[in-house]
Amino acid sequence: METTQTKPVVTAGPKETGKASGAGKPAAARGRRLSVTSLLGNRVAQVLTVEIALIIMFGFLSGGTAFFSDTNVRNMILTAAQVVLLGVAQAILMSAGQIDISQGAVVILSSVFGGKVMIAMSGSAPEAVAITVGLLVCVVTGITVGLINGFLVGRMGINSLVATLGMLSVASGVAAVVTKGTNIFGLPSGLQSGFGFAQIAGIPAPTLLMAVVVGVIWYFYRRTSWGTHVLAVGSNRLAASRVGIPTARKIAGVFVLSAFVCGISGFIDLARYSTTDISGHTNDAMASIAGALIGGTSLTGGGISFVGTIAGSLLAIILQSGLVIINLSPFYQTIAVGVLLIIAVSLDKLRRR
Amino acid sequence: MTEVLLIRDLGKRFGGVTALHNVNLSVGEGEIVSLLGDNGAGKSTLMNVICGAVRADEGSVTVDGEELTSLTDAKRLGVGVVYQDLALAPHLSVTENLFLGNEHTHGWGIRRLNRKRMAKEARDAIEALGISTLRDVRLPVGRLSGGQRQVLAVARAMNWAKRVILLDEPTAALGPKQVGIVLDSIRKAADQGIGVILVSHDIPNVLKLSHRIVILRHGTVIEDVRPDGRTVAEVVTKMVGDE
Ligand SMILES: Nc1ncnc2c1ncn2[C@@H]1O[C@H](COP(=O)(O)OP(=O)(O)OP(=O)(O)O)[C@@H](O)[C@H]1O
Ligand SMILES: [Mg+2]
Repeated sequence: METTQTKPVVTAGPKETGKASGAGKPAAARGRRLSVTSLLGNRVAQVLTVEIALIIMFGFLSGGTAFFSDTNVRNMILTAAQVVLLGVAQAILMSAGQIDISQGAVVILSSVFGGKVMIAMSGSAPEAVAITVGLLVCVVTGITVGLINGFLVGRMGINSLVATLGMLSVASGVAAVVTKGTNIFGLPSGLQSGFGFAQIAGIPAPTLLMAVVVGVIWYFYRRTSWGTHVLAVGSNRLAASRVGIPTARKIAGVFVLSAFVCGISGFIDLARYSTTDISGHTNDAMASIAGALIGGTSLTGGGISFVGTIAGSLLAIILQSGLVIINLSPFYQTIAVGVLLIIAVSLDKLRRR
Repeated sequence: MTEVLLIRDLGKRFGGVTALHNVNLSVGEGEIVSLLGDNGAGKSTLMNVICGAVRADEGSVTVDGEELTSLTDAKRLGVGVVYQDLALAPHLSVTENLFLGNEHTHGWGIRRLNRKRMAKEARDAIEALGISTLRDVRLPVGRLSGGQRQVLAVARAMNWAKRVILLDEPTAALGPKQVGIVLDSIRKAADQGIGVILVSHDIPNVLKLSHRIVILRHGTVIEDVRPDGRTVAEVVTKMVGDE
């Protein structure tokens, strides 16, 4: 399932390789084989192998306990909530041939608006109401920004890198103006205890929220014509419009989706830290692009790998927390992610030869 | 014969270039009309206007008496098109391209793709058009040969066409056997009452297949005749003019 719509040049999963070599053979000879070579040629398998190796290595280097401690594991899973959300949305944009580098700024902007509203309401309204309204404000802020991005790219035809670069600047500027450059404090305490730190069946609540949102997006992408149409826009926009697909609206839609998950991520930020992080998130969009690329989704559109994106997003998290645990500077993480990204993209190029 | 497609006083300019001027044309049910003309005569522009992909500056296009001005109209009115550039998405599979924008779905509320049904119908459609070299409808179109792509584009247009089918050089990349199959399927479509407009430079076959030939020069119709008794040389002379 996962590789059926993936760019032919990018993936050579078990199924893709089977098709390539067996196109002319009788169907029986083609089938799905899980040989060692096809596994090694599969991007998801490659990324998972690296991740397992890293986990074993960090576990060993940290004396077998620190890396696998409850706190560390829980922190990694919590961080995954935000990273995977942005990664999946970015991968969908990339499958439509688009990119959104304003993600981090939108996370900040929605957390600022959502946070302000929660604080303003916490005196007068019940806490649960304030928190719910705060979540809505975060999400609506995101959707609004997404609509603007989508209009600029889909309707006006502005290059998505340019449009979202502008939005990155505007959104972080607005966040700074609204907060006068200082982080917001005094959020309802129930936000952290009731959601940010809460666990359901041992899994952090924000991670569960992420899983549900990603699951729903994934379902619609694979099971309804929406995903096929998004891929068609990324593969050949003119062809898509000629079969009657409203391409501008499809493009606007994926920008709204990206900004929507940024809104959720902004809310998770508030819930985890009980404050905003207005000088942070500068690397969010780069991380989501890297995660999607490492997972085998290409920038040029027409293909996507959900599992690959999730695996690719987790890589950075494992590296970061592992390096901190073994007392190496977390700056090595950015180097490692960069190197792995370049290796992944080089492998794609080699395969195309 | 009932008219299915009617084109009145059509005009289209691209900046300073007049691509179409005062074009009038009608196609009856089951009629095959071939559109001939030199390179740049305006054939593709006319096809694109008829299917709503390009908006005309003047005039009107009607199908069964209903005005057609957009691709959505074309879809609703049952107009299928093979574009000169084929308009296929290279990363999508044969099946996905065949049903693109027209997917079979099932279920209430959330309309889920019926991939099984589409794959089956895709295999049947491909088989009907006789590309024995194309066995796997899951193949991305980017891996198909030029001729296979062209047959796929024809299959898609046939799938969409309920009343009119427009084919802009559908046999340009095909081998002789494939040309025969595609022309046969055009004839079959016409026998079912579909109106056909065919653009082709293959004049011998055009003369055999068409009920009428329409010659376009510099964006205007200069001939609208029956092909009976005409020779290839006569037609070519008309097409290129006196130069
Ligand atoms: N999108 C466009 N922008 C500007 N000019 C165009 C455009 N499309 C077509 N033209 C011009 O309109 C005229 C007719 O072009 P058209 O493509 O309809 O010719 P054609 O008869 O299909 O030629 P061919 O046999 O080469 O396919 C040409 O002069 C062409 O340069
Ligand atoms: Mg043409």
